[in-house]
Amino acid sequence: MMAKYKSKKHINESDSYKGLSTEDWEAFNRGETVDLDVVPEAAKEFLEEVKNKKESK
Amino acid sequence: MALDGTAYSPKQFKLAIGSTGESTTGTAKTDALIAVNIDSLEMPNFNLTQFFDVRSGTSGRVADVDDAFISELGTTKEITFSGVFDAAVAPYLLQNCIGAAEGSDITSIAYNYTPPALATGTGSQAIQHTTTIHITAPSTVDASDAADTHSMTFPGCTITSLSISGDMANESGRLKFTATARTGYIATFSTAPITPATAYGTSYYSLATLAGTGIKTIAGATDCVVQSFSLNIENPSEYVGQHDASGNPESIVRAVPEISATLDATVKYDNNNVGGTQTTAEYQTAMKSGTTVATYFHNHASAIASASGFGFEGLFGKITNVAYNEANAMMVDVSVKFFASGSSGNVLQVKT
Repeated sequence: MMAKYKSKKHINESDSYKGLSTEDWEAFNRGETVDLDVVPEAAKEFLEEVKNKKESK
Repeated sequence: MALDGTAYSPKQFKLAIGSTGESTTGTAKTDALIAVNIDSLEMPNFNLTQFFDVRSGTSGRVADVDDAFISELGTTKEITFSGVFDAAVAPYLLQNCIGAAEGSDITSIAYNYTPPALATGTGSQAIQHTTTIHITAPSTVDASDAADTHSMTFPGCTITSLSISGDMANESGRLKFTATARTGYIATFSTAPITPATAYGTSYYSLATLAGTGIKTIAGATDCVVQSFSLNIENPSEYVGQHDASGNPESIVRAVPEISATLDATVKYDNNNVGGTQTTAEYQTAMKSGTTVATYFHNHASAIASASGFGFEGLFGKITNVAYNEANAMMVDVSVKFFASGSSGNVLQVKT
């Protein structure tokens, strides 16, 4: 299921960019939020899911 | 001391490789070894520093034995071994050579392949990082002494070259391999033999199983009649730096300048083709025009992920050589180098 992720820390390029596409890897390292269907195993320690905030009334 | 009449068979020498990699990079892990079903074992190349030049001030124009300098510090040992590519040991050889963990039994060289970062002392390491190789030599015994131990342990190994081959005329198509491993870590040259925790596998891959509904597209020619193939992966390793005074390296540099994958196949000269792809009879045309050719070689009609047993595919190949091979029928030798393409996909995928 597609979900939004952002990086917790800089992701180095070792291990084939942690299984990310190079476009997504660059986006994460620019601090952007990226939609991922599956988080590669090697990338898990670098990423965190962005939860939708509840709207305040 | 009298003459020792005991003789030893070459088959008493064994080789085992770590099945889980090393927990800590560069530290031998000998409790999870798996035996390798080797045909032959070569004495490792120790590449010791040996400085034997003549120095100034010797009595004559000859080198003085006291000036000889021999050291293991900073040297790289190499071990080449070949044997049966059995189903147990195959994934370990592949993952360590490519430097990537398998997923769903497929080891891939991704389009954006970069090797893992390898530094001495790093924990939580796995088979795609470094592994230990242990060569068991039989202990020799004489009448006045206890058993002498002559086995060798090589920590921090990386497989820099792996060639997987199959030939229907050789062992009924059973797949074989030749591997070369390197290490820059200080090795132990006289240790007690270690019995591997796991025996070598008894399940084999065979060229004969790549039949029926499988796909056999070699260098863009579909439905090839394949006599033999050799899939070659080269992933160089350099051991650099000085971790300690013992001469161990600080880091291992892999895949510089590149990890490369090539295929050499021998197929029957014919006109089989589907969907307008070139025939084996026209490999030379594809080579001349620089056509990008795909290779699919596994026992599922279309998807390597759904295949069982051994198989591989590389979608972006260029033919590097074509030659007639005059055998029982006219055969064609074709060689392909696999490439990455664009920003997705893989250079090579190998299923085990």
